[in-house]
Amino acid sequence: MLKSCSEALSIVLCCVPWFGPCNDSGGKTSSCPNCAQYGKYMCPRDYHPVCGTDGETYGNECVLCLANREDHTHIEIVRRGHC
Amino acid sequence: SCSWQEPRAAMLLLCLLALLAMCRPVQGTGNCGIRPLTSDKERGLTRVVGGKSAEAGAWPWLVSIQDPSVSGTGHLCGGSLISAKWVLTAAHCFADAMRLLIGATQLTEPGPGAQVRLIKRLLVHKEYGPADQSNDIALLELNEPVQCSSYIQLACVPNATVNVALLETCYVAGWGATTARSQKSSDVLQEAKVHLINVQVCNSSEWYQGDVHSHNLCAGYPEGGIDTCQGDSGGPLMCKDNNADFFWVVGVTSWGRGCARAKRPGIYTSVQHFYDWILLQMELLPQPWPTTLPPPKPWPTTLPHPKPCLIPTPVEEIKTCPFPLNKLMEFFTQMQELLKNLRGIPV
Repeated sequence: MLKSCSEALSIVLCCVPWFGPCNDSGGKTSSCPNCAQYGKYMCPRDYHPVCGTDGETYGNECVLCLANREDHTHIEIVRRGHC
Repeated sequence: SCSWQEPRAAMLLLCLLALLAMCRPVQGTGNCGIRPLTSDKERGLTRVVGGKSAEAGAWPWLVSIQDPSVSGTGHLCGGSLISAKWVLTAAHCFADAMRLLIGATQLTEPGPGAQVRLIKRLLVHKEYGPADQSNDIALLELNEPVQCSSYIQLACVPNATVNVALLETCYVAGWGATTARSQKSSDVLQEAKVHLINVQVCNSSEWYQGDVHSHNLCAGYPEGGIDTCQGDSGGPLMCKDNNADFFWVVGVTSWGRGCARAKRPGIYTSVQHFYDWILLQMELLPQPWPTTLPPPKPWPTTLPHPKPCLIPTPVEEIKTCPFPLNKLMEFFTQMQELLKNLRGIPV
């Protein structure tokens, strides 16, 4: 029962990606930003760019996390460095 | 004032001594914060976000901190040269091996005035808090001191006697992103004029809601539009002295919510607050002026209270960062004129 529940949950999350959590498993080419570390989104102004799954360059991971939070998106990181 | 009833030669000497006394060494004005290649007149609207490109040599203490393993310029953060071998920057900038580019304005074409250094020591504040960006300050010791020139000068570090809140003409500069979206670091140094904003205002409910520390400064515009951004971290918030033509580095670019947003100005680490920490790291204990320090500096002669030395600069560093020739010439011209006038006064 538990197993089927979690399976059902993962199907739901899989089918509704914009509302689901970021999930690193499953051979994706993008990775999840680690947004928990930027509790209050006091984004430092260093330039360690990341390329988002939306094709935009973010100055650093915190900026991408801030965009996700404010725009209710789930942009992930395609790679470190600019797009 | 001078009385002319005594023999003229003695009086002349006395007046000269008085003049020299007025020109006591003022560290802030003698060895740092000077822009030899920039005229004194007010500069126009100044990115950074919302600023403009800086002219070559405009901010001669600016340093680009780079990761050589990254393609392109590898620019990550800024910094300020505060002695021939120390660079002041932000704590959060550091992860990898770094290269420092000093005396450049355009990163892809640094020009002959630029010098490259590596980091001998990185001293990050022990109480730096990555979660809330507290104590976001660090010092880098260069592998080899730089030679100062028109393109490379030292920044002035304010001690407790400087009333930072009263400084009116402030600028930020850096190679950071010039747009809040699609962020790309800038090839040409950008500068912008900003205003210091009271930290209480900055911490109010519609602004940063208490996230700003008492050891921070807040600068920008309430309406936004002009601000530092990603890539400007570690670089300076600089204010011109109210009485003389030199700049203090009052802040180190730290963080902000977005860039250039209304009621979300840039947050800077207050350099003044960490003055003692800086001296301690540089192994320069705060002490009275050594008597062997540089000959009296001529500019400015009108400071009501000559400010004490900001960072006691060792003599060998004076040699590597000479007082700009034009200011020296100006002084001698003034002296000549004074002597001419004195000669002209009847006994």
